[in-house]
Amino acid sequence: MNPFFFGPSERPLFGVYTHGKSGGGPEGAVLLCYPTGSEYMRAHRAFRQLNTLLNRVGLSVLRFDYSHTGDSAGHSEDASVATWLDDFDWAIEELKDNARVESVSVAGLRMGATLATRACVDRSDVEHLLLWDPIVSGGAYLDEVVGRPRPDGVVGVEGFPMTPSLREEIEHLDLTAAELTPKGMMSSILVAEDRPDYRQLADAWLGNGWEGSFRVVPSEGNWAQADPFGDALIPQQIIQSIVDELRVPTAR
Amino acid sequence: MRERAITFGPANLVGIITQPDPGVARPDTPVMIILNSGILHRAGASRTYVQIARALADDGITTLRFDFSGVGDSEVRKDSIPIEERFIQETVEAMDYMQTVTGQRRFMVGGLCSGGDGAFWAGLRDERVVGVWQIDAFCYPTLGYRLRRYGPKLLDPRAWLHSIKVRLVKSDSNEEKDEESFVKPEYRRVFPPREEVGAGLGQLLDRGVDLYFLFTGGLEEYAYETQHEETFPRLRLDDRAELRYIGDCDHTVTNRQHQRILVDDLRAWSGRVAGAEAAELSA
Repeated sequence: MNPFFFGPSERPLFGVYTHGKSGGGPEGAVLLCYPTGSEYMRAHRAFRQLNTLLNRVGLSVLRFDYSHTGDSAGHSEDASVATWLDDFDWAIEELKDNARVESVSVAGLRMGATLATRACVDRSDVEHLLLWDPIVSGGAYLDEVVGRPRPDGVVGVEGFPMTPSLREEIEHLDLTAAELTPKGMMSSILVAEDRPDYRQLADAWLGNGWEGSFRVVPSEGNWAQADPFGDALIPQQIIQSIVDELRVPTAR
Repeated sequence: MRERAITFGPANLVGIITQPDPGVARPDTPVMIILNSGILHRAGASRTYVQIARALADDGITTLRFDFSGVGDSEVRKDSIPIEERFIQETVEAMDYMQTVTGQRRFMVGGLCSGGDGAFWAGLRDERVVGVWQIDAFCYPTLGYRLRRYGPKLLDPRAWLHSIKVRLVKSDSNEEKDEESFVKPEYRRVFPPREEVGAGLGQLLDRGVDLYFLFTGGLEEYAYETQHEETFPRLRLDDRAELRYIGDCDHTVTNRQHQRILVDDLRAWSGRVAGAEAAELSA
């Protein structure tokens, strides 16, 4: 395991890189993209487990904290979607360098899935994009966490500041937008619950010529339901399914 | 301010060192070590530990925040040391490491909940500790606590009914056992006997260790400002002990105003610890 800082010197990003165990199987690399806010804290343990299982099947992994989150540089109050999207460029290049590969897979949970789609859909070096319980609509997400009417000023969401500018950016996130339909890469949507918004996303993409897969893998736990004692969620079934999806040998 | 990621000790624990800029660095100041609370990784609940480390760097203080084995990014330890002993041992390993890289032999140690517990025990074990801070430390009921917690309920028939129902509900002891790769670290907090904690606090104060306590309304066992001092009267009399109670603060300090109070308190307290240490060294 190699914990390190990388990226731009003015706002270093924290990441953990682990090399896949070589066993003669296909080699590859996966960028794991955390959710944000309190969901990041709850998901950290699950990401470590997913990281371990991906390594076991020979895949190298980089998981990293976006700017202004976790151990990466920046105040939480200055977080922005634009900066987070920019972080993906740094992280993907860093992973390619470390794993010595030309292309990578990208898997994200909740906001991580939404950001990953925005950041990677037009990249030619992403071979598999995997969305895990994605936030389909930024507006619907905000309805859950800050409510309507939207409050003025900075509000705390489970201990993390939601500034008006961040709120504005999240408000405009909409995965069903036609230009976000992944093409020219493998793509999967894995969800723990069969919800209308997930179906709406799959239908929108299918209507736009999407050739990826949509799968419901019933798993326990609700990422959005913060636990006052910071309990971790480890939905085993869906984690194993993600490993199975990403281990599929692909031409490199 | 500069941060670097490290691994250290026999268990390759993962941590982040936050160092002040050379212009503000105070090399003679004790180093701060921040300990995990429960299974929350080293960034701390609501990223509070990151805020503390960076604020202290602005004051010239170096900080290490790290993950105990099996928590956050640190691997599970191969040996079978009991968890409470592991907290102490790994805190000592953190001090050993920071002593090697900074040359500093004095430390402030603290954390939220079980992190604060670890700081307390490590402070008793290792005399390099000159300051201990705890959020929602071990505490014990007093007469004032019982009156506040149970007084209103004694007169409420619904509370009696609820109490009876709770006792009749069978606890679920058949939790599914995770397979090895999905094991979550577990820490069930056990409050030691009051006398043991009282003796420990006495030892720390006798040694000149500075103490800071924040108690929150999120801790069921704590109900009012002076409860800790009434339990341990030595604390009230000793000017090396500081305590704040925020009744409307939750256990993990999620309110941003409360986070600011905590960070400001720790900055002020650390400054005083550093000043006291400097005075003792020059005396």
